[in-house]
Amino acid sequence: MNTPARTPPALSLRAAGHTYPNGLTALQPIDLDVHAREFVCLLGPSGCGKSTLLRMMAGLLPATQGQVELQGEDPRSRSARESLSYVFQEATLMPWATVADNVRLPLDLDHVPRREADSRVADALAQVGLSAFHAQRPHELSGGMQMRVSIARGLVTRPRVLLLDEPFGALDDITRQRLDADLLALWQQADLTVVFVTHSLAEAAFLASRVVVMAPRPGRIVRDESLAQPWPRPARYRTSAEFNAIVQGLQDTLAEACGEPT
Amino acid sequence: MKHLPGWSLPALVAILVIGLWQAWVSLANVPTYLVPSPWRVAKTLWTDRALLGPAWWVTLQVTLMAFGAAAAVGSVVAFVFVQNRWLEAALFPYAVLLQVTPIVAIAPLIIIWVKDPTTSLVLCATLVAVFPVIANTTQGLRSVQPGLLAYFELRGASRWQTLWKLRLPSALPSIFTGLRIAAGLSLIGAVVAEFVAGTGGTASGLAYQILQSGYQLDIPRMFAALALISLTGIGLFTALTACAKLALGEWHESERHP
Repeated sequence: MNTPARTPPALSLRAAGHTYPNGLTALQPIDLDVHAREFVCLLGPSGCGKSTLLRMMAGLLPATQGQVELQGEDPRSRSARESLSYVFQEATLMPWATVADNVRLPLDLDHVPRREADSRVADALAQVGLSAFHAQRPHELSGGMQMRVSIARGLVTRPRVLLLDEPFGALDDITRQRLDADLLALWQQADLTVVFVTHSLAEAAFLASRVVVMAPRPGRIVRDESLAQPWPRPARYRTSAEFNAIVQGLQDTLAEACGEPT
Repeated sequence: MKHLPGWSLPALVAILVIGLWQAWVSLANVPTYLVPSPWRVAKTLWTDRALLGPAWWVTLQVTLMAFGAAAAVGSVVAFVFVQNRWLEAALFPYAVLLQVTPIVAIAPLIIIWVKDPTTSLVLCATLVAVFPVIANTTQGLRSVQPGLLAYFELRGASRWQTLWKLRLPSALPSIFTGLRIAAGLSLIGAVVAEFVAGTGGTASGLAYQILQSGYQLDIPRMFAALALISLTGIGLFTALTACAKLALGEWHESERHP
């Protein structure tokens, strides 16, 4: 079972917001704690600041107000960085390098000895089901497989916190559902806290142990709800009445927050 | 079309042009001192080999040294530019200045200032060839996928790691473009410098042979020297294309589907 224990938060935001230099508020000051072993989905339409929030969590973007802590430290500190992995919207792989070299990159940057690095790369590739493709180059893989490589690169450093910014947004529905299920399985096996940005209601309802719904202009949190539905969540869960009720509830919240008729 | 090797079409054009040239010269009885036939040029290449061979070797050496110098200096300057925007802003206009100043105008000065003839020729040719290396390498080192750059930043990569593991491989296609242009320009620079030096009395290289042939109205030898220069240029270009294919063929769009 993955009932999150109420240990000190893996990620903590205190009145953290971001305003662009031109005065535009990307994200109003928010308070948010993400606890260890939670799977949090940040859900919202484009421009609601969910990617901004994720980038602040990763230290890629500074909070212009308030403070962000990852495992109790500044996300830009070395130890925080070591406990964190970030998966971008695109696979962001090096086209000249093989799959194995791409996955090994963070270990090479940290000067991990080659033998240990290779064995960890093999483990990570096995986790995402790409062991047979270690010698291929990214252009030889499908979009879904490239994203798996990107996730393997995220897992190879054995992070405590995995941040994913709409990783499957560009994929077809079938591939996306399969990757969702695989990601959920990986999360269940590993001692991992996940924050996952998506604009898909169904994806959030399927994946999350907790959904944080956001609305735009200015970016803010409008709902924060834990989903009690147990794991594992099989594919048929997507067609169950309770799943549909969750999706409907999320949709109503978004429609209300964005001022659109339901 | 798909099954023909890449060189077959250009070869066909060459055969056609040379054939027409030969036919025209023979049929219209064009005097040799105006336009020699291709056959006559080929014969001269063989009969004057004792003269042309060493001259070719001199020009090739100057070209290769200038190319090496342009590649080395150009790359170092580009690396420095990428590390420091201020330096780039301060110095780039002078790189452009170097490029737009006609080498024929400054070659006489260089040849006067630098006593050693080979060094002065190499210096002239390097000046001609260095700019495309600087411009293309700088552009290549900067044209990095923003996502990958963000990833390197996120992982706390050092400047050196970012340069070596990300910028340099990303820049390879542009670097090869720069090198290909620089190879041709090294040859042109070498020949131009030899011309200037040759008119000043320094005997060396194929350009000097062309000058001498002109004075002696030995037009076939002039054409033979010219053909050697062209063939050398084609050879350099082909060699660099092969290198690019070796380095990029596995992954870059420009080489993947020839």
